[in-house]
Amino acid sequence: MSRFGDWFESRLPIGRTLRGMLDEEVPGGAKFVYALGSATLLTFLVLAVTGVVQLFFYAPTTAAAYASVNYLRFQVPFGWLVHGLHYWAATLMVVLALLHLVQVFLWGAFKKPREMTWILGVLLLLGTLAATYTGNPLAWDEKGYWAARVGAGIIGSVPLVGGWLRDVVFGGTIVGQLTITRFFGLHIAVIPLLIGSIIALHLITFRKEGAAGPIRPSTKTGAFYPDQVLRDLIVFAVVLVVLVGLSAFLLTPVTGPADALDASYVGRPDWPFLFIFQLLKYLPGQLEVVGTIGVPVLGTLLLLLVPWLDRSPERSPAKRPAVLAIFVVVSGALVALSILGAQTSTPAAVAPVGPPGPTPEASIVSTPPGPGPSLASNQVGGAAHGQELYVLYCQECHGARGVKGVENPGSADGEVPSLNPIDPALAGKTRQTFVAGLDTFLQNGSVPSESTSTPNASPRLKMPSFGNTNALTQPQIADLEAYIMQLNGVDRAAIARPGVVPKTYFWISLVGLAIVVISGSAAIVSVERGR
Amino acid sequence: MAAQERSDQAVVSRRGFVGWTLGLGAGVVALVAGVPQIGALLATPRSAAPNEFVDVGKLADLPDGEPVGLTFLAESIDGYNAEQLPHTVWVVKTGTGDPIVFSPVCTHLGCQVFWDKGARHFVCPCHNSVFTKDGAVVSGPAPRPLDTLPTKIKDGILSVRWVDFTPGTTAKTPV
Ligand code: HEC
Repeated sequence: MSRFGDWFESRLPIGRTLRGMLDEEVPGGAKFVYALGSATLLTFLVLAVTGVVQLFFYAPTTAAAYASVNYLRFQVPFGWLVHGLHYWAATLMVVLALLHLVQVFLWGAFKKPREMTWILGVLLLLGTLAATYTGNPLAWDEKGYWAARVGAGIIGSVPLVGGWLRDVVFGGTIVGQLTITRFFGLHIAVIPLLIGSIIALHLITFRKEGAAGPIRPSTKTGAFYPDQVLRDLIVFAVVLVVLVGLSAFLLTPVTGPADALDASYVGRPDWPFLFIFQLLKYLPGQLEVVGTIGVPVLGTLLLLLVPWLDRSPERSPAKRPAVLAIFVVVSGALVALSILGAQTSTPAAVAPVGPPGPTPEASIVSTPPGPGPSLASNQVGGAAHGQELYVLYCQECHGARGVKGVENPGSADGEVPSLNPIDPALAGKTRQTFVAGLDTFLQNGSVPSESTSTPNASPRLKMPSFGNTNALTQPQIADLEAYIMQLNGVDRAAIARPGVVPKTYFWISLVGLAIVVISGSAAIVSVERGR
Repeated sequence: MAAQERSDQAVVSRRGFVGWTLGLGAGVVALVAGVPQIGALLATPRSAAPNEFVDVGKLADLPDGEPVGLTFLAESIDGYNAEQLPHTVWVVKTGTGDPIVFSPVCTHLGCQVFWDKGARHFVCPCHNSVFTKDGAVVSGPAPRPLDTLPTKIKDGILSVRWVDFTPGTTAKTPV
């Protein structure tokens, strides 16, 4: 080594530490399936990096959170990828952690003396779920907001301490500003620090006993470096291809701005919690707390106690039929409940108003519009929810999918204008003009010009004012605007500055990562030959 | 002996290959995941669309030969916040000519200048740049005269478009 290298190493022994970490035997030889744990760790690192980058854009306030997240996604070069990687890595981390757990469970790798590694692993899974849960409301969109609302209800239902616990976690009885601030603190500081520390402990206990190795003793052996490291590298490349691909092809959903008044939004929890959601449907009201609290707590306790419940030194799943049966039943039930939960259909839309007729001036509290563009026109609405609202509030006059409006005797046009396709003069040339054009009608309403053929006729139907009368909330109007734009082939949530176009970025990274996989495989072969 | 040497060489070259593969692999993985992060952080925010002209007052109300400060609200996009921000401009009307509208932003480092009635000068309180009524530099560190803003006059109403200029340079360039 060079003199500088020696000087450095003698004062900061990075090389020695690294060699110590890499120099480990892998009983039974290196295998790709052993990379599940490292792959979970990789997703955590991706989450940490993309999380820190998001901190440079995010504002944890009810007024700005949604806009700040959308700013990152649509206005910042590569923002779609930063956000997408964070979103999909969060999903994948739960998947990989679960697979890792199943693997260790079936292969009996948790057994004495590895109980502590197992317990720490279960805690890591809980931490990951906590991070998933606290992350959603930060976007302050419909999905996240309602997830927080339901969570607050669940925690509030805990016997004795529920109310207190809810106030502490959610910052009070209502889900609002203090909820965002607290979830932000939990999500970016408390939970990741806990996860990071537990990962360190998990690795320490793992290295103490070494890998459990194959079930049937084998004379084959491999080295962590390079045999397992090369396999881990290949798995990393594949995980990254999956993450970039998901981010590029399945852009993260836009569910619309959070809306506390919107009763028509059907909240559904994030997929890891779907089974509880489905379970609750089978439980009578007074047993609700059994499903929300009892089942998860009991499940966690059983999971933690696994090394003591299955104590025989036997590791082969074939020779642990009872354990295998319990595993099949429990995981089958969880998967079935989750699938059923995911399939829950939206309840049939209930029209809040009667058949088309002269519109009563729907009015709740009337606040005069302030100067400048409305709140709705500055927010990126969610087209999917806009569609649901359209069926409820607009279809009776503008027709299904806005294709053909109903007849409107007394008006110059004779019918309610079609919204699909919409009058090009209203849409204008840019997304901004389109939103502004729609917004004028939705906020203020409009009376069609009178028919010239029948003098003194007045139009039977007029466009009601939805915004100024507060008949619809601003977030709902934003969602409707997004939907009508979508009907006309315009994406309200288009990425204005992608950096590199998502699909192009995917193909570029695919080439790079394919090279990694190929050369990694070649290296594995050459190492095996050398034996 | 020769055979032994050859196999030693093979071991060395294999180690090199494995090392290179890992280095390259780690590099590509870091690039694919890292470039977007750096790209997002280093990207400059997109320059906003030019502001609209905003009515600031009636020509007839402006005093002759005496700068007045007029305040108006202008829609501005601050990152992801769309806000109505107040701006003050100094309007100088002399005789029948069109009024000149000065941005109050000092051309030195961006503090706000004010009209010192007694001294009949624009003065910047931060580093004592002094400008004449016509915006020319009298003294102090300011590198260029006060910046004028685009104006329009219609039906006796003066309207102004707010523009931010880069302070500290001799040339007047919009931010
Ligand atoms: C009571 C019947 C009625 C309902 C309900 C209604 N509209 Fe209208 N809408 C009209 C009429 C009539 C006009 C034509 C107004 C005019 O010509 O000034 C119109 C015009 C419009 C326009 C302008 C179209 C153009 O080409 O000028 C838009 C956009 C619009 N409506 C959207 C909606 C949306 C979105 C909803 C649901 C929230 C809705 N409307 C609900 C009757 C209705």
